[in-house]
Order: sequence, then C-alpha cells, then structure tokens
Amino acid sequence: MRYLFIAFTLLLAACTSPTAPEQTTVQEVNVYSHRHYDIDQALFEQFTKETGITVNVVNASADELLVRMQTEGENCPADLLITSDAGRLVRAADMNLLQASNSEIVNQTVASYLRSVDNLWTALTVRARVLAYAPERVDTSLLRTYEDLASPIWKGKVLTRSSTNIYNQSLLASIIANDGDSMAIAWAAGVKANFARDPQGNDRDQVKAIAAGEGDIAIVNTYYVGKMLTSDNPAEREAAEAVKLLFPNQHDRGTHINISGAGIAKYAPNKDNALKLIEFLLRKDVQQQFADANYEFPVNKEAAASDLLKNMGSFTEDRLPLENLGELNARSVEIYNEVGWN
Amino acid sequence: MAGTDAPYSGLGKPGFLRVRRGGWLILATLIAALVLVPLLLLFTSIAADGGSFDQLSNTQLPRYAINTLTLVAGVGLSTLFLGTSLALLTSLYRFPGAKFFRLALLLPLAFPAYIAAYVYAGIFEYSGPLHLIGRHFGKNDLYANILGMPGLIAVLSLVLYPYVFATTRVAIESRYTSYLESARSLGLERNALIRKVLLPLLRPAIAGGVFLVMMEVLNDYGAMKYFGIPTFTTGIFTAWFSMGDLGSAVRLAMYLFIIVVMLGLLESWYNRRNKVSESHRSRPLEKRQLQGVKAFLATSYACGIFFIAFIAPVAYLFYLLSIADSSHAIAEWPKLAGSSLLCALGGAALVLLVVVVTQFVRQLVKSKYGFWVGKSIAVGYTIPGAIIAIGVMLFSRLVDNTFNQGMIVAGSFLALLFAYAVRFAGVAYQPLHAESEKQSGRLFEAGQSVGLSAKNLLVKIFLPLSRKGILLATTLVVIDIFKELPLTLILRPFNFNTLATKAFEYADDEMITRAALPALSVVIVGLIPVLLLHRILRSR
Repeated sequence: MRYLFIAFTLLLAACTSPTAPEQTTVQEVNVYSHRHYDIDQALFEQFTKETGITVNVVNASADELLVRMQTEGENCPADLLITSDAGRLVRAADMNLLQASNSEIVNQTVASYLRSVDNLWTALTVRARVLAYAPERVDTSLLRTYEDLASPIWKGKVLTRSSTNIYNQSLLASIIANDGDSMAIAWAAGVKANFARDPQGNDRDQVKAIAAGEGDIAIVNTYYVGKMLTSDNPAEREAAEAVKLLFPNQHDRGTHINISGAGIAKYAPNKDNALKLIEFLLRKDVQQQFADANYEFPVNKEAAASDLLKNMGSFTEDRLPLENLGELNARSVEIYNEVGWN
Repeated sequence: MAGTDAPYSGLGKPGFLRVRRGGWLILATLIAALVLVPLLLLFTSIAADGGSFDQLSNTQLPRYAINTLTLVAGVGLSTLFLGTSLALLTSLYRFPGAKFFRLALLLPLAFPAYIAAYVYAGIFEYSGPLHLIGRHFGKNDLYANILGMPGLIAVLSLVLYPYVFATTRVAIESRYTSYLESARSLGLERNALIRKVLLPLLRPAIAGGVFLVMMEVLNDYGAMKYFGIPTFTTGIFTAWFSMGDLGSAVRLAMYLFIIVVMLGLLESWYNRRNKVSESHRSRPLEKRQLQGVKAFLATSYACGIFFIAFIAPVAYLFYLLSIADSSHAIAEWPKLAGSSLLCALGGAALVLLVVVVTQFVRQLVKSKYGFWVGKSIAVGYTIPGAIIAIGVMLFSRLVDNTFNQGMIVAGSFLALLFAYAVRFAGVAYQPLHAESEKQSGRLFEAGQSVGLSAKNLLVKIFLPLSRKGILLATTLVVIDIFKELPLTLILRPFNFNTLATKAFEYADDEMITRAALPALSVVIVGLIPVLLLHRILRSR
C-alpha cells in the first residue's frame, strides 16, 4: 500500500505540472479553437516565428469549449476563443465569457456587420451558405431565393443535413430576422415537406446525393464545394463538378453568410498577445492563406479570394449584423424541433 | 488517501482485525466517493435549472425514446444472433479455418463505432469504391445510401458483436463442460445435448455480452450523429451544448440512466434465474468435424462476417490512405500515438487502482456496505463521456479553488486520467468482480483465519488470484480508452492530440481521406489489446 501511495503521489506530481505555464518569462497565447485545420497550425507557427510568442491550442467543438470556459471560470487559461460561426461567439458574449478590446486594425479591416458592436469579437473569414443544384434538372428561374426552397414545386427534391448543425441554425435565424417568426416557421415546414430524404450526413454528402440522383437541390457551404473540387478522391471531384452553385437572394437582401471569428476571453492572462494574434490573422498576406486553404472569403478586402472561389462568381452578401444570428439561434432550434426537421 | 491505511497495514494480530478492516473500508469509501463526486456535483449544480423542457418533451421526447429503443433492440438482437452463432460454430465444430476465425472474428472490436460509421457510409456512397468498381464494369447502380436507422443498426452490430462472441465462447469452452459430460453419460445425443443442455447453460454469458453491447450503443454519439438518428444521447448534446439548456440535458440523461438501470436489472434478474454454478478444470467439449457442404457453409459464413466486419473496412481505409495527402498526419504520427498510449496506460492504471482496492475491500469486509461501495464505482460506465467530462471539470475547479489559487488540476493531464477512471471503472469491475466471486470462501478466508494482515491478504492472495481478471480488465480498459472520443476531446490539455481525436477532427471537417491514417492507426494499435484478449480468453 505504501508503494501504491508513493506511486500515486509521483503520478500526481507528474500530471499536475501546469501544461500552460504562467511564468511571465515565456511569451505565449492560449487559444481555444473550434477550427482544427492544418493551415491554422501552420499560421500559428509563423506567428511564433515573427513575434516569439508561443501559441498553445486546445481544439474541441465550440459548444464544448464554451462549457469548458464557463466551468473553468476565473481560472480559465484561454486568451482567445476561435469559432467557425457567429452564433457561438454571440453565445459566448451572452455567457459573459468575452471581454472588449479596441483595435484600430480590427475596426479598419473588418466591416461593422461582421463584428460585435461591443468589440467583443470579430470575423476572420467569411463563408456563404448557397444552393448546389443539378443544372439539367433544375429551372433556376424558379429558384432565386432561400424562400423559393419552400415552394411545393420542389417536393421530393431538397437535400440538407440535420438541423443540429449550426449552419442550418444560422440560416433559419437569418430568415427569422429578415422575414419574421411566422414566415420562418412556414419556411421550415415547407422545406421539410420538400425533403428528398431525411436530413443526414454532412454537406459533402448532400452534393454527392445530387450526383447520385437522390435529389436536385442541396443547401451547402461554399467551402465544402471548394474542398470537393480539390479533393484527394477523384469521385468526389467528379460529383462536385456535376453540380452548379447558386447564390440566393441576389436581388434583395443578399446571400446568407457566416464567419470564422475570434473573441478575447474574459479572464485572458495574455490579453495583449491575443490581440496581436487577431491582428496577425487579419493581415493581408495571412488572410490570403487563411482563407485560401479552406476556400473561405477573406474579411480583409485587400486580400483576394482564391481563384476557385472567384470562379464561383461574385455575390452580394446579406449585411444583417451577425449578432442577430446568435440572438435568434435558440428560437431557430425551437422552430426546427416544432416542425420536425431533425 | 493511502494515509488512512498506513497505521494499520503492518499489523497482523487478530485483535486488530476490526480496526484494520475499518481503515481499509474508509479507504475504499474515499476512493468510491472520489469517483462519484463529479457525478453528484453535476446533478446538484443543475438541479435548480428548469430549462425549456416542456418544448423539448412535446416535440422530441417520443422520437428520442422510439429511436433509442429501436436502436438498442435492433443492435441487441442482431449481435445476439451473430455473436452466439459464431461462438457456437467455432467452439463446437472443426471446419477449414475454424481456428483462425476464433481470433479473426474478435478483430472488429478494434474499430471505434464513429470510424466504422464513416467507413461503411463511404464504401457504399456515390463516390465510394463499390460504385467506382461497378462503373468500370459497366454497372452504374452499385451505390446505396446507408445513412439512417437500418444502416446504423447494421454498422453498430458489426463492430459490437465480438462482445457477445467473446463472452459466449468463454462460457462454452471453460465452464460448463462437466454438465455436458454427465448429460452425455446419460445417453443424450450430441445435437440434443447442445440444444437442451448447453444453450440454456449459456444464457447468462450471452445476456452479459448483449448487455455490454447495449451499453456501448447507448454511449455512442459520433455514429448516431453522422447517420442522422436523434436519440437520448444526441439529445443530451443538443440540449446542453446547442441550446445551453442544462436542465433538459440532465433530465434526458436521467431517462438514459433509467434505461441503463432497467437493462442492468433485467440482466441480473435473468442471470439469477438461470444461474448455474461453474465447474473448473473439466475437459473441454470435444469438437465435431464438419464435412462437405456443411464445412463449406460454416467457412463461408465465418469468412463472410470477417470480410464484411473487418477486411472490407480496413481495405477501404488503406484505399483512402493511398489517395490521401497524409504528409501532415505522418509528421505528427509519433506524437499522436504516444499521447494515445499515455492516455490508455495512465487511465488503465488509475482504473485498476480504484477497482482493485474496492473489490479487495468488498472481499475483506463482506458486508452489504462493502458490496455497494464496490459496485457504486461502476456507475460512470452508464453515463455518456461528455457528461462525465463536465462533472470532472466542476470537480477540478472545486479542488483548485479549495487548495490553491490557480489552475492546477483543471485542464491538466491528471484531470483527463481521472475522468477515464470515472468513466471506465465499470468496465474493469465486471471481470474483477467475477474473479473475486470465485475466490470467496476459499483461500481468502483461509488467509484471514490464520491472521494474515490485510496487506498480505492483498499482496499474497487477492492480487495473484485475480491476475487473470486484472489482465482482462486492463485489456478492456486500454481498448476503450484508445477508442475514446468525447471525454478526451473536451478535457485534453493544451497542444494535446490523440490518434482518435485527430481522426475525428479530419472526419468532422469532411476530410475523410486525411482521417485515414490516424483512423487506421487507432484500429491497428487497437488490435494489440484485442490479440491479448484472445490469448486471455484461450487460457481461461
């Protein structure tokens, strides 16, 4: 038993040596990130090389990171929260997990509807939620808006993933904001009635389902199509080449967009470094890589979108402040539940 | 914690018996409390939270319930059929490859369910290999969308049937053969023997295996999510993480817990009713040689299942690997594998500490209280990993705030290991409990009667006699931690990735080809404990 005790004490000592040291001698910034792309890691390394500030990362889904930050409270070591949608940043702000920071660079680089009014968070990249369709089977004169998806002419044609996905939640939130609550309920019910199959799989699966003839129209994010077009898998490239993309609502409010974004944590021990990292990620040359690798649109307008995205066509984006998406998120989940869009 | 026992451990005189046991009992109680506190914290911290449960209950609850029950029943029945039939076939008959299949049919155990989900969907999908090959030969419709309930039942059954296969096989081969021999000496013909004597004897083992399968189903999250089947488990995630509604999440967790408890009660009731005392060291039942068509059918069946459940998915992963750009994953591989190993070994050590002490004390004090202390540590196995993660976080914060001002335990590797102990003590409980049951009334009591100190009882009698149980428990826990996802995702320290989390991240980013290398690694490294399991089963 004594040996057990000694062994256990040693284990305890070995395990609790802080993984994110607090010494001021080491310059560092701790990131809680939902984005786990290889490019992020590469850019963090570049940041370290340029500034000498080490970047420590924990990846998990944003929902889980928020609960973790909340639970860790004042002890939370996170400096920067990065999510891949606006809804979670708004929720983080609501949960009082973020703090304001004022940066000329952020204010000048990022359009106002792409950041919080209280300077709690800012967008880093933009992605659009568009419609992919089978060109030979869909008459696009009848399909110009998200609202058109609910029209009975598309019965049995519409493909989408589950409503538990944040991108669908944010899309419905934008419809609530633009069209009102009762219209939004009717829309969700109408689209559900048009499903080609029960919502399942991810965005890529919807595009493949078009190629397989299971349905004609899919709701997808632009960058998934970009990734499919450059996929390692030849059959995926083929499926993506077989569909066309349509940016909805070009003649009224514009296409629904979402963002990757970042906010500084309320109890950040390295606030200045966190801000430096945000400003670094917004820099023109970094934006180009950051957006390029994931086929997203840069928020820094001086940085050009990738050729692949340019080929998808330029479009007008819905300038609804993204803050509204987060505020309406819970209502959007309720509506999906009510109409039975699983 | 070990301090409570130190003053007594060296004393072997009978007069100190009571005090000494008291010390051990306190130690066991403390350990059990440590394991249970995170769960209690969870329930108390959110007891007041009402949430929007009414909305959830009206719209979602019936669907969650129906899906959960359908899934559990479907996977339960099909693993019952697959596992039992394969165990009977490979343990009672000789046919070409029989010996090989006894090992081979265990291998799918190395597949985490969420990886299997992506893999099977990938094999059958439009841009999958079946369709590509078919098209090459002018056949254009060799693809299917297997997402949905039937597909999910099939996928989960294929990775989970080895639980039933293993428990049934052990039962056939080592336990009840003396019954069979006496029945045979009464002149019962072989087939009647199997039907009338063996199968009824196997019921508890089969039920035990199916119970494990059902628990695994209820704890799956990734596969359910990808296949689009909302259940209590996914509902907990939606309510808690997406709607921020802790109250609903906990109530759903309660329903899930009730289902688990009911299944557990059903299993133990069933096993009590069918209880048979085990016989040891009897001659194994002789195998019968299958001939001609029967031998061909037997080989084809075993081969078919092996192919579908293991060869095809592994081949598909290799295919993905061959077309993937894995440069990044290769560079990271040693670090990932090291982290996975560290988690598995560290977690298993902690689990063993918890389970060995509590089981030893149960044996030592032989009271109802000791029994319940020993059993209570298993409760974490019935609670989804993500829920446990939050409980452990609450607990770590409490510890940090009590003893110092910074973040020492929270966000540390220790917190992760501790969470594994909470989650997986139940996995180690079964084999150790079974092993220590067998010891009761024999050596252990003899040791006690000659006044061996508790320490000596532990070191000289309990541990050596539980060797196989400990080995089996370690193996099962290592496999489980290796495949574990939600707990590791939420609790891991900075800059810490395992093979499983990396595989999941790529798959979640819809980059399934890049997920191939880490996924394949999880499976291949997971084969080592499975091979060990095979040896343990064989030597039993």
